[in-house]
Amino acid sequence: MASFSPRIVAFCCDKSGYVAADMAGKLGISLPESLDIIRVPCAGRIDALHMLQALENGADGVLIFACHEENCQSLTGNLMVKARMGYVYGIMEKIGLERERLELCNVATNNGAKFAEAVQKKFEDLKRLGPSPVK
Amino acid sequence: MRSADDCRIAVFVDRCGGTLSHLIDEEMIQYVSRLPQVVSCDQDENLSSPEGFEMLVSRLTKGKADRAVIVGASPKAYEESFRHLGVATGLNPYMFLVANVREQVAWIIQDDKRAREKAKAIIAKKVKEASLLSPIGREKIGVPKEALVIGGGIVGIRAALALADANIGVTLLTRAGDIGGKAIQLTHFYDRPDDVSSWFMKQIERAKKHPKIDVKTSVELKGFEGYLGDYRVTIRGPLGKREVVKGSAVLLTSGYDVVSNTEGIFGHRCFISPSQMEAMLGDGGKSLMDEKGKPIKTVTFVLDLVNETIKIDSANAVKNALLLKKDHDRMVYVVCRDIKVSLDGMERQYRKAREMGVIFIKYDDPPRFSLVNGGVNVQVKEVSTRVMGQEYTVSILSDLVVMSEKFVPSKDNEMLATILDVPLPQEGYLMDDNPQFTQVRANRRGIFLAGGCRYPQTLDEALVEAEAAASGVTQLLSQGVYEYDLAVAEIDPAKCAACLTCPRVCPHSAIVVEQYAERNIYITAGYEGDFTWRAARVLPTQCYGCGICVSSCPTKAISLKHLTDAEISLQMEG
Repeated sequence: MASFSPRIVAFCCDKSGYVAADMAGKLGISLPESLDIIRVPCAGRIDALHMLQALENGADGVLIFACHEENCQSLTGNLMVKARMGYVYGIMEKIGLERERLELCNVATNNGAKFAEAVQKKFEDLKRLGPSPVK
Repeated sequence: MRSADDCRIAVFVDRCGGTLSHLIDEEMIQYVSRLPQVVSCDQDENLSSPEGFEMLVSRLTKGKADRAVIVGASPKAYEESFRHLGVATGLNPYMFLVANVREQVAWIIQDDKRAREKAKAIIAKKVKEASLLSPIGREKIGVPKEALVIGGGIVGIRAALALADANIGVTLLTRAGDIGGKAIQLTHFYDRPDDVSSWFMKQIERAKKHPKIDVKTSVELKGFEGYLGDYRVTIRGPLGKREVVKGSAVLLTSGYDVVSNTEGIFGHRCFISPSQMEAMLGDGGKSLMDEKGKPIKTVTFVLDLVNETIKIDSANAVKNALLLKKDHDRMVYVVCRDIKVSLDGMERQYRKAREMGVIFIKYDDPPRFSLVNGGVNVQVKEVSTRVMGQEYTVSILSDLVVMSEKFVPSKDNEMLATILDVPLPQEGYLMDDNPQFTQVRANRRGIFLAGGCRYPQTLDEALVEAEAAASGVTQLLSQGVYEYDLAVAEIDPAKCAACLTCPRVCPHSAIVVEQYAERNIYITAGYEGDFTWRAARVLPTQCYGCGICVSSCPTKAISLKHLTDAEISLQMEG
């Protein structure tokens, strides 16, 4: 239990989150190796099913990196994913998963440090929370 | 689609100029070569260099691989050259994948051993994902060299002329009885000595006589349909006759409206709007006198009371103040919260105005107006002297007070947004697709916006925008064909329930619901079969491939060709 390293699946919008993730790398910030980055064309591509599937497949936490609100390349993609997250929160509550396991983070392309901070914070939070009961 | 077993993957390892040397060694290459379906594994010191690129091309051309995985830096670094690579090797440009082991492994995981484990996992996953790829085609449609310009103001005329000069036929539609719009009232540009009205008249004459421009006045917009290359606008002419005009692209220049008399002493003759001032200056200063025939001696411009942050007011005030001072030698005051000089050449104009004796006074509290001796007393608490511990109130006895007009979005914007299906934010101005990258493009491909319909702007800015939008249209239409990748969403009509969710969520209005007879066959008039249903269809020219509709579809009838659900599921496996 001492060496529990939570697995995080990060969905990254191609227009902002993925570039921010690359930037975090360029800045040389060390991040947990249990981070899986999935590149999607827009945060709106992420279905409620994908979020739950990630948790089902053994992720301890799911992070969604979308563009800032009112700054989405596809106008409403980040709002769509936010709305779907509300639905997923409801399901998670019913099946007894903690709300902290899913989070949305709005970043811009130059927010490498913010990306890293969000991942590290989630990592610490999940460490405290313990492994996902789904596993 | 071929089965996953008989695909052949070529892996290319980019050592990124040595930055990945600690990760990639013989053992790693061995590991990659042993992965299932991998037929070759080559490495290069720098894949982006001409030599590395040559190696890649020769391997892909001679080898038997039908897809490739590149191990190296971020996919963003390779994507542009992928397209060319596809041309050089005959391999489909979408049969490539990139395992990002530089930014997302080597640089964020300090421990070498763990970094190698992670890199192996990522490469294995990408190789597996590569077997799911399928080629994506490219299509082209013909785009006739015709454009529609909606709005007959100066922006519309300028854009129409620019398009017509680029050999594109233009239909100019305007609701008014004649082209010209509001800018016709202006007499001077702020930054050049030309007389605007004569220049503008020449433009109007040219537009009317130009063989490539068809001007339709007094028309009403009634309907709109189509896509890039085939937009059709239904209009109602002056005699109530309906007509359909066609164009490959549409340029919206609806402009903005002004409301005068919103501040100051209402209805008093001493309070005038900038356009009245403009008219007074237009006739050579003959009307620069009050109703008794006495000349006007002092003019005060009051800024920032009506509009908060709009630089048109500042530009107009400085321009007219200079004219009043230079040509007519009047006493001019400009009372403002902040003078905004963020326009080309404005700084110089402002300095010139100060040098010539125009007095600028800044305020925090709104100035007060009172009527004295047939003039107006403007009382301003001056803020620049406040640092000395005191505050002075300045009284300016003025014969005329020029109060800015309030800029409001055009009433037409709402109608245009509804008919053309472009977004209209709460402020009421039409919205561009992206304020940073695609300023004059609306969310639908082939629809452009220019001028005051986006936000109130000065004539110079609007003219620049008109040309920008015109060059955007020219760029789309000049080839006569529009080529696009089919990396778009696709709807299976057999699964579609025609619930209208996707047309509603599509940010680019790229989905229509059509009547189908058989799969993907548009029903023609007179078809009498009973096997018909309604289903949605993605217009591939309009789709940007964002995938919002894919995840919104309740029946999972939509798939995104370049990122299928299977690919996402594979990537999130632990």
